[in-house]
Amino acid sequence: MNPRIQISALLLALSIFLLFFTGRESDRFRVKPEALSQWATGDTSAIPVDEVARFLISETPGILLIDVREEAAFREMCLPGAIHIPLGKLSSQGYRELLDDRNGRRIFYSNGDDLSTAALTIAAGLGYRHCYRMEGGLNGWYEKIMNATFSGERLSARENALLTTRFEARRLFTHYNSLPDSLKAGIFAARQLEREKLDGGCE
Amino acid sequence: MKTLGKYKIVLLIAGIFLVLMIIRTAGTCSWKGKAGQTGEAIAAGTCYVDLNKLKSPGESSHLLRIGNSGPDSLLKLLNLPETRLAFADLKPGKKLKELKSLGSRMVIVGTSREEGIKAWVILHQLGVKNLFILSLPDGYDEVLKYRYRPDSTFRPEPEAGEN
Amino acid sequence: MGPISTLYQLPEWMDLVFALFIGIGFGFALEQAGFSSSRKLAGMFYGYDTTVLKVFFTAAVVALTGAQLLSYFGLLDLRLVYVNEYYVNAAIIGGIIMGAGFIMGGFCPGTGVCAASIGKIDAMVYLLGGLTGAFLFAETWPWIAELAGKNYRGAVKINETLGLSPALFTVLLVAAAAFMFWLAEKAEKRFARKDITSDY
Repeated sequence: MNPRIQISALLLALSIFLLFFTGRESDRFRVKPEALSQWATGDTSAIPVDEVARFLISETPGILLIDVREEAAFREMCLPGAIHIPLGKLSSQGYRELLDDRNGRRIFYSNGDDLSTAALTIAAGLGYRHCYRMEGGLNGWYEKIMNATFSGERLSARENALLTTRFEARRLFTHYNSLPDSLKAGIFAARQLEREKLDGGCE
Repeated sequence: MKTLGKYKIVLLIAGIFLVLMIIRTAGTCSWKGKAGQTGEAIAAGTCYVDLNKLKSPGESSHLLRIGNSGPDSLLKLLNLPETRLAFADLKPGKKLKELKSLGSRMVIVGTSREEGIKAWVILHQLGVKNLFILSLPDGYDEVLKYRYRPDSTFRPEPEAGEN
Repeated sequence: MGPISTLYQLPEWMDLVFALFIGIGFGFALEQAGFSSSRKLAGMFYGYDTTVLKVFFTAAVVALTGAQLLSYFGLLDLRLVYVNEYYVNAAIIGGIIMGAGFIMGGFCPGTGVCAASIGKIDAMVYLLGGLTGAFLFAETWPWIAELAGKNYRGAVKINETLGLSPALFTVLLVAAAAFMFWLAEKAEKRFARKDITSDY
């Protein structure tokens, strides 16, 4: 038998198998049901609002905020630097590269806890790792960050740090959302410049 | 038959790969729905049912209690049949078959919102139909309780343009 | 799991050891395929010997199918595999120069090294020419840079440009390769030149 024909036949068979097995799983859950139910039992991926605020103002690298609310709500106001992925599109092939990344962390948020938890569960089902959600959503953000006030007489060092973070996050949030879309990306560069001046850093 | 014999090695190798690939996808075949549809249903809020609807006599309901959520005093009055489920039960097996054969409307009650949502997403993907989450008395939590007010005085230039 | 050297950040010397072994394998395969004979390589252009087409296309489809399979079984993260960037102008001009050099010299760079290592004098001169060309290229880079960098398309993949899934593209390419092998063998019979191919 001509080995060339054999090799061609083998390659053709293997590639057809691949086509058959990879073609249908695009919009379906990819992890095993047992693994997903185990994940749901021991899930600890809720991140407190204050920690998200800290990520934001320190511009922690590798953090990606994902807004899963409706498009209009996102357009009106969102967390600084967040991108928008509607819940129904989370499983589409186009977002796979963004979500299925072993580096960095992705944090889902919505107005409350429902949509972000749903997004997290879908992401877990699709096999995307390093996904988290912001506990309390934007309601929690408003409660803790936007409406943060200092009450009482003395301020411990810890409270001071927390309040500073909250006030700075509030400022960033308001400034970011007051800008037209085209200037939004610029705010991080401006902050960078500001920080360099404060640190007295050289270039 | 003779030509098949000539392709023995090809068939053998292709067969091994076929078996390996079937093994790899075997566990995930029990996912029935499309993930996008599940997401859309939750975003649209069609997955919720409220207490008043449960009271109406039209359709029979069956409670699915997730984890160790205790009997809610309001729910207790309704005296609905219920099944207790742990997250570990949310996989193909006897429990899932039982749920699918129930026929009546299934309403998830969890100890927390998150548990309810998680269970709903997983069960919906496993192909359980007529499934709802009990919306709690404190209302739909995806409504923003605050109004966003832009800072119209803010200008980006001074900060960036000073040097 | 893979690609190993990217994921596990191996020390440089280990990367070089890998490179050495892969290089030995590559050179061995080229020599085995008879690529150190410039007649065999030129045969591709005249149609009397299509080994070049068959070997390189086989390598391509085996690598393609293999990479897809490894990716399917979770052993290779294809997104971390380097994709060569596409500069349209540079690819066209470079392709013409390379093709001209190939048909005139009778070797492509890899097979040139292969042939030089078995002592072919023409291949050694060919290599010397190649190195001279590389030197001239580096020295004249400031003048060429603009032209070479034009029409930059980034790391594009054919299947993405065509809007096909990787698996479908694999099937199509394997089928195309099989068809080409069949065509090539027909051509070999048609343009056979016993006198040239039989003397090595």
